[in-house]
Amino acid sequence: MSSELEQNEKKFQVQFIVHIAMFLAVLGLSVVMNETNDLSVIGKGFLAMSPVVPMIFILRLIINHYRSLDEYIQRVMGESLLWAVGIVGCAALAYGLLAYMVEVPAVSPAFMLPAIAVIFGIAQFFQLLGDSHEE
Amino acid sequence: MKNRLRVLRAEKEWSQADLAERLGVSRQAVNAIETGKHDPSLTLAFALADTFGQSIEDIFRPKG
Repeated sequence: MSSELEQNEKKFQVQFIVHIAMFLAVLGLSVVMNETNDLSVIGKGFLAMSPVVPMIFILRLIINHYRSLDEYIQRVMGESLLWAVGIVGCAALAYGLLAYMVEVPAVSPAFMLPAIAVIFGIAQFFQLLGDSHEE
Repeated sequence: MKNRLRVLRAEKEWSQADLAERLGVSRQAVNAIETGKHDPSLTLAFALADTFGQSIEDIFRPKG
């Protein structure tokens, strides 16, 4: 990796950790506030959705980082994202169809984004696996 | 697309990381181009040609 890309990567990693910490802080705060205060339905609604705000900042950070990457890594990330969205989408479709016919345990849609992130990481790992050694 | 990148790089005694540094791309990108896994954009192809002091046609050839 060129030194400029390396610097960008390190900067991104630090910013990503800070953003994740912000997300976790907002998430924790929303849970605590919900349990300790008797809020109205609207208040609870805003409180429940508040962790989405730092998540939007994380999304913006990732998109800006994506733009700073070289064309090959952008391609790998794009393909990995297609795999992740495709797999999670197919799983959601299968679950929905299954739910019409048989009784299935409830799964929160809140797990979709983390599932996409995990599958994206795994797909990227496998796609870059062949490039890890110099021939 | 076939290319002579590995040969040209070996002549200069550069590692993939050295070439990546000169081009401002990742080492994985250089590896993917060398192995034919990725066809570079015109911008990167020109940068490669410029780095080796050759024309794009001297480095890249269509398959077949």
